[in-house]
Amino acid sequence: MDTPLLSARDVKVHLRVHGRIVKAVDGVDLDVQPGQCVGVVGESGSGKSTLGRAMTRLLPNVEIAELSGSVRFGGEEVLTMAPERLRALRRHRGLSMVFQDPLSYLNPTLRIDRQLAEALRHLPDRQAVRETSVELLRQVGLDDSQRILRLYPHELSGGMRQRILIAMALAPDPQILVADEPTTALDATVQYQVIQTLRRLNKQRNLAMLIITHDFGMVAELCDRVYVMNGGKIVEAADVFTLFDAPQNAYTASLLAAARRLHQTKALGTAAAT
Amino acid sequence: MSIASSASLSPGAPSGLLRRLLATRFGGIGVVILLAISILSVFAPWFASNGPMDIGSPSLQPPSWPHPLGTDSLGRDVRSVLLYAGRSSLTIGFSAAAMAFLIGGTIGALAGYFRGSPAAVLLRITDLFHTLPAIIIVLFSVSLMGSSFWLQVAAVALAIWPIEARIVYGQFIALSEREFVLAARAAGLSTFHVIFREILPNALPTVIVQVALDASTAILIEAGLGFLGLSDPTVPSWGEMLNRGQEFLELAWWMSVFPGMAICIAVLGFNLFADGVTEMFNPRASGVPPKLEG
Amino acid sequence: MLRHTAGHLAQALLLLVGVVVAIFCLLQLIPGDPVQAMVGDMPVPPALRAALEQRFHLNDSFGERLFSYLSNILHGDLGYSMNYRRPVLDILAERFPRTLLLAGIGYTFGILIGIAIGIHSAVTPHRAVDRAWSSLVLIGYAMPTFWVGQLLVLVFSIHLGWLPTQGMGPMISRASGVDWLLERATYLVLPIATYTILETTRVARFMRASVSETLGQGYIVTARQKGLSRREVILGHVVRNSILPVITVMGYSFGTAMGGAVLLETVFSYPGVGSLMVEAVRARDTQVIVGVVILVACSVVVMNIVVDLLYAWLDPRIRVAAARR
Repeated sequence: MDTPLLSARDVKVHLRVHGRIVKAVDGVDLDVQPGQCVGVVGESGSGKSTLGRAMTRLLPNVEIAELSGSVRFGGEEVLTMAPERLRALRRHRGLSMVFQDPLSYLNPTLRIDRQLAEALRHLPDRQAVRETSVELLRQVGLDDSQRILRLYPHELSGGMRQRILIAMALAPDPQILVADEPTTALDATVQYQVIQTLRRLNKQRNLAMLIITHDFGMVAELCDRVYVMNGGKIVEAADVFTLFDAPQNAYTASLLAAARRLHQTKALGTAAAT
Repeated sequence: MSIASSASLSPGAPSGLLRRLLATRFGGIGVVILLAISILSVFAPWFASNGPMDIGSPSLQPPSWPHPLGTDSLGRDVRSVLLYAGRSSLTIGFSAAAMAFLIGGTIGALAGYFRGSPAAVLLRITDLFHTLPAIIIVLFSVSLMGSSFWLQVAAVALAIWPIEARIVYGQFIALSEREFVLAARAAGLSTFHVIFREILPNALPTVIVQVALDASTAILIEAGLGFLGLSDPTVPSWGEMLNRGQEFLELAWWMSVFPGMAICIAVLGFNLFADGVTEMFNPRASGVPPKLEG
Repeated sequence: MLRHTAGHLAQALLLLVGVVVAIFCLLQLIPGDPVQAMVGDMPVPPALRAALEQRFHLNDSFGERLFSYLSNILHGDLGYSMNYRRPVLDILAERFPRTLLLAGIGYTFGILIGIAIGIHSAVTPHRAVDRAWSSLVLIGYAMPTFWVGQLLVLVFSIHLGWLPTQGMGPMISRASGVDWLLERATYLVLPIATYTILETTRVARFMRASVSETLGQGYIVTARQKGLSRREVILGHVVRNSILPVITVMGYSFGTAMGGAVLLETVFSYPGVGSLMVEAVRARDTQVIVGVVILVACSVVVMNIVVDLLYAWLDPRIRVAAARR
């Protein structure tokens, strides 16, 4: 087994909310191999988002009671890394993160080309920045790049915005992409396109991914390995086929069953409608 | 018997609310200040050494033991005048705010509840008042009506009522779409009941904040009027003390410094109280900004 | 964007007309003799009374009087001041630029400093610094503006003797050229400083809240995620987005500055429009009072339009969306 690209050991994130301690993440172990796509599934409140943001050191503004454990990336310890080193990593060949709500995660007063360029400062000159921007947009399936680059976020559709967020995350040529509910805010057809985009990126660029989601369908499509989270802990970890066919844990099984029922109901509904 | 009583208002007896207010960043200080100045004003005779009209002492004395805040040009003990002047300044503040609330609040409530053309007219009128600075409006009113005590109060209330109306209007718009109101109307409860027993109690926190802010504005405006020498000359007020002080700025700094401080403290009291109430019902509104990591 | 502006312009004009009509109606409600009200605190000889009644159509119907009133104003005739023995428009034209000089400079400085303090207060990692700024701003906000002026005069003029106490310039002056300018400038320092403090406290409070709101937005996380340093995030994302809401109140706070002029010009004995208003109220010179009110209303409305344009230009959501139609 090669050394994992990203590996978490006994990560704990305890938050202080209204005077009480909430153990959002309570001792999690996790590995992502180079080029591998790993999924973290769970219900809302399971701690999966917090885990993702803790690992990339982008936690939101809540009071942290405890943040412990080890997150190793390419041999370095992320949680205690010096800020300059962290910034350098984020600018080039490090960890990149994509978030759930593309509208609020893009600056409404800046054009797309400017926001993309901010992520491309490791390039030597403006020509290179422009060419790379066009290329990045093409990679996420946005071919009309000349027009799009000159636009503001409010002039784009939700799906385009999400793909631009992905393009911005790809810009520093990261080794791993962490995606927190990348399709939740989008409607069904666009969801499909984004999932396909991610799949292509994983396969063609050999880009490692950590997909955090409650959507089992997406996990089935994209991931090689799956971790199931509940109440801040990992309750099951297996490769994707094993998990779907023979879940070991009762909780996993019930989650899967619920997802299948929902899927069936949807399918029935579509069938009845036609 | 209000459907909404536990829906959006936080539960708790008045003592519980008070405790929560005291726990906020500044609310406690605000309450203490307001209490202090209220007590000092109501019981002024106990705290003052002389009456406000006693001109027996030597004039223009700097602060010293018998006169801790000095004496003014007429030979009055500044501390005593300050306390009595506090009564009128605070009365004007409270009264003008109350008047503005009653008039503005009623108009705003009606416009918010019934919508349509009354609402549009109201908005136009508040815009009109918004373009003119308060002091100009007050001066204009005073020139038309004169400046006896209650006319002053009316003038100040005139300058403030549009803000109050706008706030109440906004609250009504926001709240009348909420479930408990729709439920009350579906249950056939009268308009009167809906306005006074459902909507108003839930608009209360915002309105209290606005009234407190209005009171502080009223005090500042009244001080301005007094400073210009346009307030009721028969009633001592902090502004009027500052008017006298202006002449003697070089000779008697204490005539100007202490009334100004008094105004400052009163205004702070109201503002901190308002901040505290805001924080209590809307925890994200004030408070600590999010951290920006390096 | 042009259509957006045209709409606002039309509203603004309507507002102005509304102010004038409202004033006219209020004036009609004054009990007593309108001729006496116009003249002020002086006895009216019969010939003058007849002339005024004729001139101002005092015996015409309400509608006719309103119409002639409005058309007079449009022609720049704001009446005649018995008190000063000059047309009101002349007096205003002479005094308004002085007020603008003081209030305008103070207002501008105040906004700039207020923005800086607001930003610093909200982004500083040391909470104590934030508390210090916030307390200072709060206390400044609570102080009556004219009292601030008095304090400044106390400290800098009377105590330290560095600056003159009042007026626009010395009674007699032999300076010329740059010296004259500097001499004049010393008279303006304290009043401008007072205006600056007034505006700073208002803006700083608001700016801090705006920055606080911005810092909680998603795109700040995105910026951090891209590896931008604190400084780059603040300059590139925080400032621009936080200033927008502050701009919307700039029009209204210009009105506050104008209001402040009334008090401050009294403290500093500065012959501007503010002290004019006070003198007119004391002398019951109705024409001047009305003139000042209309003038102030106009300037605030104009400022609001400017601010509107500025906002529409700065916020791409308005500027660009409109163009695409």
